[in-house]
Amino acid sequence: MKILSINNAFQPSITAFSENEKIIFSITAYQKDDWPNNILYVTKTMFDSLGIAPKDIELVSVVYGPGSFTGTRVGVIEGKITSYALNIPIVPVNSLKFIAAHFKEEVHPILPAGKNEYFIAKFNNGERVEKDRIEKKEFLKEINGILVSPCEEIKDIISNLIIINPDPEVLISLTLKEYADGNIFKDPLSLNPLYLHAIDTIFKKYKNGRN
Amino acid sequence: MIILGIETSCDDTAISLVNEKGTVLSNVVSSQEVFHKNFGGIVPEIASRKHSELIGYAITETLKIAGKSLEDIDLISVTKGPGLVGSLIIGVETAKAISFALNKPLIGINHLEGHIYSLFLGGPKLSKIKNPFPLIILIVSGGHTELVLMENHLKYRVIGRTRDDAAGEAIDKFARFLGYGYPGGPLIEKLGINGNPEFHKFPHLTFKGSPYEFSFSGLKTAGIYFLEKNPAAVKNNLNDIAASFEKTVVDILTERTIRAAVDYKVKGIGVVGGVSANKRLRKTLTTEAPVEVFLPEKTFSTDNAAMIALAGYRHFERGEKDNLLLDVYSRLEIE
Ligand SMILES: [Zn+2]
Repeated sequence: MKILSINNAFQPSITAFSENEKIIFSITAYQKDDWPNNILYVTKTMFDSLGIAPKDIELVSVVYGPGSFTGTRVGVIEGKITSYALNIPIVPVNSLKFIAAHFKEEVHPILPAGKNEYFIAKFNNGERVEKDRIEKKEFLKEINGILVSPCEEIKDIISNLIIINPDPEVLISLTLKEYADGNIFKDPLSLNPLYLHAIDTIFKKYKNGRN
Repeated sequence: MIILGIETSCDDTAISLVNEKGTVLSNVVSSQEVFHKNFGGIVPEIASRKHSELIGYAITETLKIAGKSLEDIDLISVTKGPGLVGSLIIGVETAKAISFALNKPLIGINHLEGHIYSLFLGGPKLSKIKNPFPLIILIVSGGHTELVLMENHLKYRVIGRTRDDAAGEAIDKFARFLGYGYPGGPLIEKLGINGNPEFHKFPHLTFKGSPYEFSFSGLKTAGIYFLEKNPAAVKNNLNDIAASFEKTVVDILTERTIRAAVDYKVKGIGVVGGVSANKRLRKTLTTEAPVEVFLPEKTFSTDNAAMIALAGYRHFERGEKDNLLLDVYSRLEIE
């Protein structure tokens, strides 16, 4: 099966094209913040040079959050509209699960969630132990265990943090696992980002002029 | 040729299919008004979320109405600015994904230029005139107030714009102060229908040396000041106040537009944008203008994607297109 996988929920972004678990190509890049990214452009360029047609894609997978609001949304739109236009299914991949999937140990994956807040969960050997939630900075210091993140800045807050470099191969094997587990959106348009922040909390911030 | 138009610059998710003649095959506008109403204005994060939820379904609906499929599309034309970045980005990334997946040409369009092309949609008078140029175009909405000299297709010169608030924005804020929700324009219009427009004289500023420039922030402040100081009038003469305020805005717009039309010796005046649907503005301008006044069909005066599709076609016909690096712009001039 030929799969196009996209991560834009956190930096660096990933575009990977694989066939039967084997990577054909992958591109990892740091994107401009809050701006259209170059994911589709580089994918098209690679496709053209390798003689691949977008119509060859049989499945799309996308990291659908939690993560940066705009970044996640842009990645999800790219993924879901591509799969909608090609009339193929889409598989959502949880960002914290993706980070945890780099480890066999019990780990707490962390991503920034706005001012002094962080998305966090707990996984053991890639299996979920705790659900995704939002915690304050102070709470992170209390955690006993291995904290992992792709985000260098978090190192300023917690010293015992392991920084990972997100691996496209991990994204692809996780995609296949989700696919095998039946985590598939047959109607790609019904896939939306996982935000965790409810709209009313955004509104409160907006009204208090903090956003 | 079939052009898919995508417009998400503000809070409406708009999709349309148009052919090269400007005939609208289908036009879907999915309004988010209900989501923003409680907040008294547009919340950018909510607008962006809603666009990303609605856009695919709006495309499906548009295709269904026209009896077409995505494969039938020959060009994708999308608003690249000006507008809310978080909203624009959803339209642009959607356009790019369709362009990528189905290998269709893509073009990014200025929203204001789109409004200008609303005059040429659906076979109105203007598209039947052989050479209607030059034209003076008044672009007037909740976000924009500009006077544009249109010398030919795709040839424009901005000759005046607002220094501060847009005309529609001043009306919206005045309405909000009266306790009416967003958007306030239609409510003020409704209140003012039976009011006496001469009830109160609000200030009407002109700038020395820049006869086509607008300013509505002073008028808005004066309006709100009047409401604060005259609670009795607000209670007893609400219709008269609304009519007087609306008349002042209309007079300012009319005076500048006609002056530009005379100075530039144009063949006609076009009025586009949400406020062009305002009855008082339509009536005053058509009565006082020395040349013919052209208006878009009412459906196309507010934000829509048909106008974006037609403007996109005009550029594409001239050999222009964009690649998958197409960006969005919160500010963008007509050029
Ligand atoms: Zn507009």
